[in-house]
Amino acid sequence: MGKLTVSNDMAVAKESKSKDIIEFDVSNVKSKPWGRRREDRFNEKFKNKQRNKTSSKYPIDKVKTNTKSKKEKKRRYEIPEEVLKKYSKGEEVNLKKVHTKIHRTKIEQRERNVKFATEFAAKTEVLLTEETGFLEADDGETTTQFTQGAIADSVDITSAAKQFELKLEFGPYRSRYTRNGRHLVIGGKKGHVAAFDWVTKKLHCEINVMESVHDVSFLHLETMFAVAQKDWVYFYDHQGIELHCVKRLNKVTRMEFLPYHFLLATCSDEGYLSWLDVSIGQLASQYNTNLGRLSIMTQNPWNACLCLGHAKGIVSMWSPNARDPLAKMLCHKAPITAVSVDPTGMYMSTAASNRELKIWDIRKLEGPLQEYKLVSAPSNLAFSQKKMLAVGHGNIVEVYRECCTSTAKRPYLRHRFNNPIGNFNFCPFEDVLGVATNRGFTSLLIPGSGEPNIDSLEVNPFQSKAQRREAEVKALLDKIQPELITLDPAVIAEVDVPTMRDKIEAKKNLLFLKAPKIEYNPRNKAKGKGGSVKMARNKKILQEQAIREFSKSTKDLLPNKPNEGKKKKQAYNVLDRFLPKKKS
Amino acid sequence: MSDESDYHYDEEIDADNHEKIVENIISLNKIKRLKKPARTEPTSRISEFDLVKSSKSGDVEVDKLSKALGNKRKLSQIRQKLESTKKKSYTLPKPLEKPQSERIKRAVAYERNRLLLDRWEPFVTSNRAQAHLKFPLGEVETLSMQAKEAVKMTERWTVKSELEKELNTLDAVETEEYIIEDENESEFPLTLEELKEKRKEAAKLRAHQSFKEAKARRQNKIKSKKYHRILRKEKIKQKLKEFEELQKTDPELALKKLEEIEKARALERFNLRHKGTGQWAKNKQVRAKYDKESRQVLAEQLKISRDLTQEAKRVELDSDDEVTESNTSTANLNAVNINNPWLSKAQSSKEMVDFVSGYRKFWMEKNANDLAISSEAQAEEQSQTLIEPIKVDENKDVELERNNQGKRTINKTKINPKKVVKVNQFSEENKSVQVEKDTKVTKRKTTGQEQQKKKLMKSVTNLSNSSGEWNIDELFEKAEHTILKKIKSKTVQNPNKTKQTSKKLGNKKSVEEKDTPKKNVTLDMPTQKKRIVIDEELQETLINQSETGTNSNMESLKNILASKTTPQKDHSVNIDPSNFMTVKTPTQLGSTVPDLVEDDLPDEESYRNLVMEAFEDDDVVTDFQKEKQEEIDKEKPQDIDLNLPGWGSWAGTGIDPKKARKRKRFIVKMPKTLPRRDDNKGSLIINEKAASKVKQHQVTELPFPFKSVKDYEASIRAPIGNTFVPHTAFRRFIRPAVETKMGTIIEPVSDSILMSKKRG
Repeated sequence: MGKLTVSNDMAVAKESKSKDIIEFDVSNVKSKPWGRRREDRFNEKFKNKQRNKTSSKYPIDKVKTNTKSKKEKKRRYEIPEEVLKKYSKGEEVNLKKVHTKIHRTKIEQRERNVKFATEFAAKTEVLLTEETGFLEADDGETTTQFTQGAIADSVDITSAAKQFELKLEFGPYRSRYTRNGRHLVIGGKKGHVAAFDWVTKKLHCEINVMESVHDVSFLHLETMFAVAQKDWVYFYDHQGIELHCVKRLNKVTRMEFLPYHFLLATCSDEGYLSWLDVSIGQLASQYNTNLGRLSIMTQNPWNACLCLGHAKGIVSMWSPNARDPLAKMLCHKAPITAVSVDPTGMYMSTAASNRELKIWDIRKLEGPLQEYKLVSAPSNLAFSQKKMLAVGHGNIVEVYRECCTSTAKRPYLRHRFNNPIGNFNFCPFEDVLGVATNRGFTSLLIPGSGEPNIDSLEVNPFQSKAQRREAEVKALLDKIQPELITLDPAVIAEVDVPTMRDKIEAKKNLLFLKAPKIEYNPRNKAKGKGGSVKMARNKKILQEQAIREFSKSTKDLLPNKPNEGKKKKQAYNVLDRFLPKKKS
Repeated sequence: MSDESDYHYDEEIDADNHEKIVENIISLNKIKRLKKPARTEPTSRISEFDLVKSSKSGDVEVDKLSKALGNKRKLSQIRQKLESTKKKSYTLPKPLEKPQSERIKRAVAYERNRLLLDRWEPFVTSNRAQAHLKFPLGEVETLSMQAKEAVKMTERWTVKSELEKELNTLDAVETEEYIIEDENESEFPLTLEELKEKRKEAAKLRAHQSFKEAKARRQNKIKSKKYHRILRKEKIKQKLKEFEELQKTDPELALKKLEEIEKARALERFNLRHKGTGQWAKNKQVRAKYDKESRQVLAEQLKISRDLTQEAKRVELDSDDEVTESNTSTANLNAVNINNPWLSKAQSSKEMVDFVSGYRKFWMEKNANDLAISSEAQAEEQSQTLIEPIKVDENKDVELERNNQGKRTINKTKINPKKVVKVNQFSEENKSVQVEKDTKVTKRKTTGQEQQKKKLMKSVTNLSNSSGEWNIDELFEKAEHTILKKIKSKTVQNPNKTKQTSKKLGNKKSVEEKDTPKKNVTLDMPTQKKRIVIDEELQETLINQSETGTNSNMESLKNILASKTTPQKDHSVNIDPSNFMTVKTPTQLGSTVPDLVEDDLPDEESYRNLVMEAFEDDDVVTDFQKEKQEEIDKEKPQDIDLNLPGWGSWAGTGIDPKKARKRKRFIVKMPKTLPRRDDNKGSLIINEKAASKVKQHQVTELPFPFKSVKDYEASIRAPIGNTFVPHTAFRRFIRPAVETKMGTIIEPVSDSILMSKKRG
């Protein structure tokens, strides 16, 4: 047996709290601020000339200084290109296409800040000292050979403690970890629900809900979890006290919690999709998909869309904003049995009943990147943080490594259970796969599956009570509205070009708009009271009036209105306090 | 005969009367003469009705006056002078009319203020461009330049002669300035007690000073001669006592004191005290012929002066000085001058001149009593004496001018105006001096220069008597240089002013126009405000023409402008053959077969799956394609058929159904829609309408500084939240634009900040 390590988790503070020292650019301040441009230009010219002179006189000195600076530069830490690319925010603003010098300098400063931020972030990678765990097989061995027992024997005691088995009798079970990977909730079909800190094995609660349990899910914190029971969805706190019973979520089969939107997304037996905003306790959206029973659902963490698997081999993506799916992908020619999206939202794996397994590029909605044929149809799929894919079929769980970009040949690890598998999830920030089976729950060690470096400001497995509270408040403040759930989450930072173009067109057309011609129908006049002349005059008057009104009404709409936004505020008069207050 | 006689008679009578009558008649016809206004009382206003009629005949002309001089030889000089002035003088141009002069004034004022304001431009722009400003500004370093206090203090108490002051201004000795760093970290360098003490002391000093001043004033006011005499005597006694004591104790200091006394004696000799030149002495002289007493008193007075000089000699002899032969006043004077060319002889030399002339005058007057010379001659002589010193100066000036002609041609023009004035005064040397006629200096300035010149002249006259030639030259050069500088600076400051009087009104404008390009500072007009082009980059060709064409209705335009979104959306066409459902050969994974057969009965779900698996549908793909097509068709805008039902569809034999082509006219074709996102992606359907809710939050107008959508999007591409960027960068992003230091008074910016190179 070869080397084996399991990554230890360490909270790494990414931020160094050094004091900012910001230097101001005073280089462009004129030494002689008076005078006019011409003079300045002259001075500059003169300077240049002088410089040229000096450079021609002493060329050696210049070379010397250059070499020196180069050496100094070389000494500095160079950030690897690929790391910089990882943190890059994209193309810079083209400064030539910005009006006014002042704005240009401002934007330039901003760009400098952005550059600083990316570089700084890239530099802080140095602080991510934790390494991922790995299994290394000797010659003639394969990693698949290693059993859980062998792994547990060769790792340190804390890691070994993470491998455990719970033998329970109310299966088949379903399980779910919290986002920070510290807590676990399991629900047995026969009504057994338990929440516990799986690292310390400290039980929060264990209850019998006396109803069939179809799915369980933690909400934003470990203190609350939702249980999809026979008819309705119930909310419990970590002590097992029932907080809510949401009857509008009827006959729910699967649940997903969208942490940034505070939405609990559910799909039901009757084909309903619903999003419940748990921060305000209201349904964000609920509608019938008209696709029959929905039992395969997962979320895309990148854009918070729901991915549903259908019997026609289609994977559909849904948001609470549209009754129709945002996109439909024909993935297989057979009914889909499992869908999983990796935590970065780059890859989607689908499995169908024809024993196919496909990897898709979910950002471009393209693929398949990889196509695999299995021996039997997988019933479950799960991606780990390090893009390991767990495939469950029957009573076997197989874990594949590097199966997205390159083609995997054989599984990385395999585990055989005595019972069929209910579902499984990789535990975040741990090298652990939690498998819920018909007869209990098993925690498997999968070296190298979890992210070793924790961003404790994002999710903190070691958070205290106070930190948890603070994180909750912050998360609530940063809550994203459900309207922003789209296929491309960056759409908010884009300009709505068609609308803008129409607006411009409308503005242009406004200039050429003519006043409407009025129809003048004079009353029947009495005999001798004004002839055609008077009538014509009246008509003209009315027409002019109409033109005036028209021009008045269009005045506000025209572009480049000089006074727009520059309304002078009248100075406050002492007697103004007696004026009636303006209703804002 | 009688007729003749009658006629004669008539003629005789007429000769007198007729003239009178004619005169009367003519006078009737003439415009009445207005009396010149004669003010009887001093009033600030003169009635406008008392205007004097301008008449040429009434003017006094120099020619007429000079005629009176006749051809006397004696007066030829005067006549010549007058003639020359007539040649040289010219009538001053008429002052500009008020609106025009005002305009010029305004222009000049504008220019000056503009330059003043322009100095702020870089400061303002740099502040505007800065992303971060910290108030109070310029906190970096506060260096205060201060001249050495102690030096200034002593300077305050020394009395300087006029010449010294003048020289100081010419030399412009750079005062030593010390950079005094603000080392007092604490705002209060002194404690309260110390401050109080300091103030007390200062108050004491001030009080003491004022007491002394009051006393001096009081004593000065005392008119009693006796008192003053006593005072003087007391002082002298006191001094003598001190001197004697000093001789015993400190001989060196005594020697110095002696020198001082000598100096005082010299002064005594110079001034006209006891010389019999005062009014009192003159009166006494008048009486002296008849009155013995007055004669005696006079003699006493003169004796005093003699005593003083004799005493001085005695002292000199006593002190055994080397100077033994310096009896005569002139020799003495020279010695003093050589030793100390500048100090104190400014006054003394002048007094000497006065003294000499006064003495001469005195004797002349004395002689006048005896000889009785005509007053005319005397006046002439007097004037001559007055002119004499200045003449010398004039000559020198001219000489210097000639010497430097080659070097300073430009400077000359600027000096000349002074000369003109001078030459007018003293027309004797006018031929030697070239006068440029187109001098462009205002009167005010010339007067200023005159004063300067006078001062200079004074110094020169003083010099001319005593010191060497080289010294004068040097001095002149220096003086000229400084004056030139001053003039230059003035002319630069207000170039328009110099031109003010130069030319006539008509030429004026043209001159200004000509000159404007010469200025190194141009008046640039504020650039016309351009209409903002909302999007220059935007060049989408797929503009919905028909829609915009129909937008002639204002309501619809308004709606568009007010609306947040339009339903349309464009996407770039990207054809990717790989996107078609490709048939890849799936890789066989080395997975094992689950060996466990589910013991449970297959539930509903698994049963369904089983059925599905059994009837695996190959039609899945075609179904999907059909679905996609439906979706596409659904979103496509339909053509509008405007055919009326039954129109053109006559039934019957012999009717050609091909004529239905006419129907095409009534079908409004919808424009081609933009390509869909999922075009060429066989296995994908994208719902284009779904994003409508996000559009409400999207930006629909390009904000100002950006010219293209791409750049605007790039400007908001980077997140700034602390969850996205490192904390240090985050703090940098959110740094407020303006920071103010708490508890400090933020003064308005002073122009000293323009001088400091470093700014916060």
